[in-house]
Amino acid sequence: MSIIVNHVSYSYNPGTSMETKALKDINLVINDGEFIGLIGHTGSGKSTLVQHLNGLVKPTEGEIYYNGQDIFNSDLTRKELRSKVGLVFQYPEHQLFEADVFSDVCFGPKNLGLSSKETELRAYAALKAVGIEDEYFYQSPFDLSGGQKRRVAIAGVLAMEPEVLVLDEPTAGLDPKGRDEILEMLSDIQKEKNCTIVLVSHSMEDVADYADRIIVMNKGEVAYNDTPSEVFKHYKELEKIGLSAPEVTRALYQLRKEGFDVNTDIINVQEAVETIGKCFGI
Amino acid sequence: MGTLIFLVSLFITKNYIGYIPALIFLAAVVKISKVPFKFIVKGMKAIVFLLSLSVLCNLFLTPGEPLVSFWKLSISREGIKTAVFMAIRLTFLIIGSSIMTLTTTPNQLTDGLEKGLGFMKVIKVPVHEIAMMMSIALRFIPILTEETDKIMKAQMARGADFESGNIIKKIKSLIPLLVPLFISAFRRANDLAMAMEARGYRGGDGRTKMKPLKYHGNDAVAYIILLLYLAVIIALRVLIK
Amino acid sequence: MEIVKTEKLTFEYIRRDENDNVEGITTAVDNVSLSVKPGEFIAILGHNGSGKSTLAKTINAILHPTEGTVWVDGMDTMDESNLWNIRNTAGMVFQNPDNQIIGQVVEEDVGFGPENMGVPSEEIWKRVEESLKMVGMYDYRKASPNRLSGGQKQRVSIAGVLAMRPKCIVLDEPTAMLDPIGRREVINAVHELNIKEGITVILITHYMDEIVNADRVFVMDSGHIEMEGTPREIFSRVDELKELRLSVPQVTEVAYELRKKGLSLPFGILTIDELVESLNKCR
Repeated sequence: MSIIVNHVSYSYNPGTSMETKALKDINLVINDGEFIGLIGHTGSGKSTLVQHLNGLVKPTEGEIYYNGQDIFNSDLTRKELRSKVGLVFQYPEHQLFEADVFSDVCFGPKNLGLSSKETELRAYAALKAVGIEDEYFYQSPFDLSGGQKRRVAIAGVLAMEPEVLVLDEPTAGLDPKGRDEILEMLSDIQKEKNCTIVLVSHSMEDVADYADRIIVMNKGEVAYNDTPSEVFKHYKELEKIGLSAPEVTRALYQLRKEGFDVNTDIINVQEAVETIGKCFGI
Repeated sequence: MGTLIFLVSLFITKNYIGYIPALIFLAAVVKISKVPFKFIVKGMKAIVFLLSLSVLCNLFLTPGEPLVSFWKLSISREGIKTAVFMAIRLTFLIIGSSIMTLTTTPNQLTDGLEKGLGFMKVIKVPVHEIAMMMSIALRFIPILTEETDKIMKAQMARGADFESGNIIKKIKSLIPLLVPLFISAFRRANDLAMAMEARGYRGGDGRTKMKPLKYHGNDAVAYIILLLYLAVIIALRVLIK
Repeated sequence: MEIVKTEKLTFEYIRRDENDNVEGITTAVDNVSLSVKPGEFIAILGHNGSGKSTLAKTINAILHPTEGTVWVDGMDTMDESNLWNIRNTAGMVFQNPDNQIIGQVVEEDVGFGPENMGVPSEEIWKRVEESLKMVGMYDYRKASPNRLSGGQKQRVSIAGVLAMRPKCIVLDEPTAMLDPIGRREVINAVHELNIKEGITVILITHYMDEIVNADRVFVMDSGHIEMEGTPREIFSRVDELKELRLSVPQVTEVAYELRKKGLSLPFGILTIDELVESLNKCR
């Protein structure tokens, strides 16, 4: 067990007439080594929720536990917490500021008070993990392409060697290939470092292939919390809250209705081709 | 519409006894503007701290014949005078400007400014451009505030500390916030310039207005009253010296 | 006459070092010739950095061709005297909704274009009302843009362009920063304009599902036009698209793979219904 969210509510301007509830009584458990997809459309509360996980936002009600310790009420310091739960914001490349790529990645570990040798080792490892070659290390981060900038920004958080890596829409604005590359990279990082990943997105297709579990948020509440194929069974309800199951899954449900004997638990193209092929004996 | 009138009148409240006509004027304006009195009082609460600070400063720091003194501090007759004077001035300033912001949209404000200062065009002051800049600045303030908050949080997630340390450390800790903020502001400015150009913007010449400012009879009356008020204040100042 | 026509259009970015010496030249658009007929719905596809945005900006005369010519409704964009007419004829909507809204109230922003054109006040009001109704944002005319969702902001931007009464709208990745609901809102609004008002649309995007209903699609890569055709023709070339860092809708890929395995499915299946229907025929 790594993170427990216990009856957490969060309101903007609490106690005034302007009070708006962004989160309503959220209960979640995030286990070690899981890959979680946190899905919801804009304003569903997903971004507010992830900012609770590393203590950037304090819940109005309820507690959050990291490895059994209440993050706001224990010996756990903010710095420690933020090094354990790394949060990559949306458009993280907008937070780059150093003169060269390498120093920028060093910023996080340096803030943790690590020795300069340790800092540099971690920065090096992080840049390697996101696939940035040595030749870019001493370039200005602002001269890189959009996709590279994003990788460098992710490395900046990775270099703090968090146990839980939370990413808020890491694929926003990228082209399809760039999107696949980032998702593939995250999946590799997770396998290699054996860390927990929480990936926030508004696209089911983004996370369907990688996530062990999908949490769907709607209007500040958890609407679904299950394995991808279980969540996609509710494809009609998902549609109502502005989300959609992957196109292949919806296609398979329709084929099933037409009397084809296909497996509707399938969430990606290759498997869909197989199950449809079986109906035709190929 | 009478935006400018306010702007001007605010800067003139500099005379001691002139406060009497100023008070009458302000009271009249409050009445006309139909802003509920409660609202104004509420607005005042926010500046109570500032007000008391300025009163205290004036009270203790104005040199003069000491009336009461303890430890190293002393209160002089002049000190009391200036403190009261400053308090009234600040109160009037705040009430005046809050009425302005409560009754006038930012756009009317910039339009009013553009029109009111229009005569300065003759001496080559780019009045239209200044008004346009103000209006854009007003639009981007909330966006940039939000952005500042986001960058700050993102750097805090990377272990940045904006709170502790001495001044030098604090200033240094702002670099990771300010650099991205400036870059973002420049990017936005660039985008905006392109978008404005694409929509045919080419400065103030040949432009029409969707909501042209029209001066009515009321505004003329307001101008006359304002001028009278100005005259009274100046006269008082000259006479009382 | 074509509404937009380019001939051998080339655009180069010149990078300079601190001393203004030329460091290198990037050719963003390379020898592109295309023509768009009035009333068409054109989609331009390409990955980030393929030159599609640069191409769009040359149409609006924000950028001028290094070589070749761009005509908008018969006007050469290199001719300074045509500049304002071109911008009124081919309006442009950009990617970031926050960075293109100038007014602090929705209706004031929509009025910005006509104000610049010197349209009389009453006429501006009429145009603002019409344009906001066309994109379904009339109820929000008094709202502050900061309180709108991304999709709503982008629709306001479109209304702002419509108020200039353009014959053609160029949209440069208008949905890249939006969530699925916002994307749908914007794309539906654009299609409606094309069908109901007959406005020519040039939509630049990398989302394949947005171009399914386009009349014609151009696929760009490193400044060239690599493919041209109807969406169906384009989507039947799955492998080539993948090589160009693009993807196809999932059902299109499923159908393509099944075809490779020997099922007699037609080329370029675009929707779930089409897939189900043609699979039914195979039984």
